[in-house]
Amino acid sequence: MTDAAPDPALVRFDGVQKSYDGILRVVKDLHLGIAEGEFLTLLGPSGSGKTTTLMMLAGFETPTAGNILFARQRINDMPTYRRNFGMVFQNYALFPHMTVAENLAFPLRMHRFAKSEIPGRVERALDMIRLGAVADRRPAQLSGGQQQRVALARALVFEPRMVLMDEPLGALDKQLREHMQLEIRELHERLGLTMLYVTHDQTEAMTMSDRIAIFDDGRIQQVGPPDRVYDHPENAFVARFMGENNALPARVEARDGARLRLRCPAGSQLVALCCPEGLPDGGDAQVLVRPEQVTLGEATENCLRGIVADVIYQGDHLRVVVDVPAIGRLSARLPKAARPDCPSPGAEVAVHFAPEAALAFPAEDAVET
Amino acid sequence: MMMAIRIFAVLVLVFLVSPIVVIFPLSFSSGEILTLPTPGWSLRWYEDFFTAGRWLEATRNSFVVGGFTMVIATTLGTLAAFGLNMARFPGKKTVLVILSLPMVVPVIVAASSMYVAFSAWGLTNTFTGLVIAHVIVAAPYVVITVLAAVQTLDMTLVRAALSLGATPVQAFREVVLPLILPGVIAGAVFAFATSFDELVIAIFLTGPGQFTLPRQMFAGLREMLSPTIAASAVIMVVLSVVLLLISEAARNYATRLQGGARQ
Amino acid sequence: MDRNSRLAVLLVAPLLLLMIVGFVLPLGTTAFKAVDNPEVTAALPRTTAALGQWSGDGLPDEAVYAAFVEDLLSPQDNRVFGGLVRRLNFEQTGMRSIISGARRAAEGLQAPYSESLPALNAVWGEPEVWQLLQTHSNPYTATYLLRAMDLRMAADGSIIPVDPQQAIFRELFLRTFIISLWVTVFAVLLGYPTAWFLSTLRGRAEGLALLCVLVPFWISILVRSTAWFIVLQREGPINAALLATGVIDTPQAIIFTRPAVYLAMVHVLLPFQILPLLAVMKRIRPDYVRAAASLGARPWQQFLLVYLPMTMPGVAAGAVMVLMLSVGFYITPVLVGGLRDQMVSYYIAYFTNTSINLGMAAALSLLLLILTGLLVVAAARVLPGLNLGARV
Ligand SMILES: Nc1ncnc2c1ncn2[C@@H]1O[C@H](COP(=O)(O)OP(=O)(O)O)[C@@H](O)[C@H]1O
Ligand SMILES: [Mg+2]
Repeated sequence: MTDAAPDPALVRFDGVQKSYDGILRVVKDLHLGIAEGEFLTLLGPSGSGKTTTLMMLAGFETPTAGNILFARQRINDMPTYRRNFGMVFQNYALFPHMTVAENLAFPLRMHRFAKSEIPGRVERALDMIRLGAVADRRPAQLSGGQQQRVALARALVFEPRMVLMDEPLGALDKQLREHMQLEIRELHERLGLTMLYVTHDQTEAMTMSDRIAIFDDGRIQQVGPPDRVYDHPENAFVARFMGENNALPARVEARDGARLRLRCPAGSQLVALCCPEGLPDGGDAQVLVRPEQVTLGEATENCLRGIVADVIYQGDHLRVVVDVPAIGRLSARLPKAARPDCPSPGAEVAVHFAPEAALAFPAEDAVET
Repeated sequence: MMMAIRIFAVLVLVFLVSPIVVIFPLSFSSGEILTLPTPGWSLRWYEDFFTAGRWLEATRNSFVVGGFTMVIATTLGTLAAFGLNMARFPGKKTVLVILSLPMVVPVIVAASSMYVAFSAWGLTNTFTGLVIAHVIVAAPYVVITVLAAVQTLDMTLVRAALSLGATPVQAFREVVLPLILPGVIAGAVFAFATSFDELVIAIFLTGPGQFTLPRQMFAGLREMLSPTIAASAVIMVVLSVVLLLISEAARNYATRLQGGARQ
Repeated sequence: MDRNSRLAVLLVAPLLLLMIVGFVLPLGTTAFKAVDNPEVTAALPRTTAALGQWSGDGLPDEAVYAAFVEDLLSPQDNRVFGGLVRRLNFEQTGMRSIISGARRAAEGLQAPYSESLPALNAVWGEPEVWQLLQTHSNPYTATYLLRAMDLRMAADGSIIPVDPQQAIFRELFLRTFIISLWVTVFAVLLGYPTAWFLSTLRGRAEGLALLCVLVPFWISILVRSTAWFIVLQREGPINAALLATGVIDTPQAIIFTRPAVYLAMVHVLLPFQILPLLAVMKRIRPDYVRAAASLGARPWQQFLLVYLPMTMPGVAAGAVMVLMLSVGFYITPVLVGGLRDQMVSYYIAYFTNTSINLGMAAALSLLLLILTGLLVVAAARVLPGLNLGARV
């Protein structure tokens, strides 16, 4: 932030650290900017520090070190009620002693909206979530999905400067969750609000986000648009966390520009792209290939032979599991159309994948499958 | 087998209510002797209760002592419950032990000890002394009830209120208070009932000028068994049931809200 | 301490202060009164000072006699003298008239008092009475605690049993414990099936049955004991019903008997057994018993091996509560029991209010407190998280 140009980000985490007990750092040196109008998702396994990050931005926790800036103002110590951020909690945190309409009116009263204005705003918010009919019910009388929508409307109704959501769909069943993902995304597009969203579900993150920040162990592992983090993971953790992978053990033999030549324990040769952090010659590596990149049949490069262990019909696709001697199990995801020609379990097959679809990472990470 | 157990259980339930039920017809008897069947029906014993000075006086005393006990015990108990819920502090365990002492010490020991100490301080045969003693036995129950309510309070609700623009004071008034109110009411009702029903301490600490209703009943039982005692017992039963209903209503309201907060 | 802790302490402080001053302090005073021995020193200050030099062999010298007469003659608060008389008479029957006689005659006594006092009453010419006075010039005494266990200290300092006709306290504690134990046993035997029955009910029936437990629970012990007092009268409804049906032909004495005490105490305490038991039973899902059945357990095995062990915490919680409360019971035995059915509480009240022997009341209180404390500690061992929040 020494440059003369003003910071374009609406929110900036600048070297933020957090420790609850003074020893263990739950968030370690966080640098992250959120642009105005952006939908940014914090994605990571449970315990990685996502909620802590969100709570610091909301003002429920203060950073142990570093600064949080909002519109270039330091807000580390600003009390929550002055931050003006809407917030959706995992258990919704609807006030049980107030009706739906009273819940929606609450932030308007707190922010001193004109008395005459409140009923109209509440009504419009109810229309937005199509729950006008239940305005006078208590939260306990609503279904989970309805409660979720009320919580969402409550976080939006007072026109906050941004909206924070911590796993807001975690308590819903799968269908409702997918429906709500689209609904929230639509709302974001319509209102143009800045949103910070927390989830541990990578599909959810892919569906909704402009950008995804992948968290692990209190650090951001990679930030970028969904396609970027999926197709070009910067480290093995990101690759593994974003979708499924086959991991093939191998050793680097030679390099050819960005491509590496590697040899598997059984002797087969592989060609793969090198990861950004680089690999030394002769180093142990793991080659990651996504199942949808694996096809049946012979090829000149990256061809492996094995026995079909299982063929699973999964509705929209087929999954073929192949036992490759000395390497392990390989999973291939095939279109349904391939079903008639599919070999049956026990048959000997060859599988292959394109060198561009394979990424080689250092082997150390292989421990945490 | 199951049937036999059910019948047995019903008989136990009958055993639990029958002595209480029996005093109702007895209190409306027109005779001087408390027996069934009654020679006839009349309201004379209630008339006696409401016209004889000492019964009315005792009832009034009970309401005064119970009222003061309720207000003081509820205030002190609620504050303490908030303090106990809020933070760890050195000696908290000891504090909890001291606050639960009146619940485990036999009443007679408490009464006898307070009598000796209070008489040295000139507090025997005064309303002040009786109220202090009743506050001491009632407040621990208020602490327990309010503490339970505060502990079930979902703290994310407070966070939600703050995130929606409420100041801490507003969050307390608009969210915390309405949600723990049933607990506070239940505690207050309990404190009142504890004082209103209390006899042993009253035996030690009161003179005839401060007789409460139970103390007056006890005196009446030892003098001569007049059916007015049955009438006063019925009046106390009715009052207890009313208090029970209030406390149950507060509890039901609290569980209804809880159900909403949880799912 | 951080700000939060300070605020917490501030909120707890008012109630804590009241509890310490109004409850802990009185309890401490009681414990102290059980060993406190102020009466002799207060009434006979010169005598006790003079007796300090006496070896205790033979008779004290003239100085002690003179000091004693001077103490008797000094203008004194009658309350202090009355305390002395009561105190010594409690130690040795007959001391009342001996001391009072000496005080009345003191005016006319001539020196040397070591001759004139024994002339008045031969007792003053024997060492025992002086030994007694010397023993009780000590500010502390074990007399009350010993007496509460039917023991006393002999003149030579050894601890011996009191006269058989004075020995009442061991029997009293035993009686208290036995009555409490039986009440607990009855409460468990009646409460268990009832709680089970309640746990199987749903809807309206459940509400009604629960009310049958909750209403008595909320009605004061006095009112419930009064109801039994009325019902069990010689002319009361039970005798009337038995007479009318011809079961008996003269009214039976039911009230002021041991069975009446059991009946009323079990009635008063039964809800304390049923409610915790019910809470435990309602939390047990039927799956467990079904699983046992599917695994081949017969009905009695399902009960004995699965249901009963799972409900034991409720049995124990209720039983501890009932036992603890009955050990300290007062009102119910007073109203429906005879003199031989009274428990420790009765004597604490008697010594506090009627015979005004606060030392004895304190010693009995202390022992009752210890007995209750042992029960609670034992219960806490067996049941972590025991909830003692019930009404007394
Ligand atoms: N209030 C707290 N006090 C102490 N430790 C906490 C607290 N909240 C979270 N933690 C710890 O911080 C780590 C990160 O937690 P969190 O931010 O909730 O992760 P996530 O939301 O990604 O699951 C976890 O190890 C958790 O146990
Ligand atoms: Mg979290």
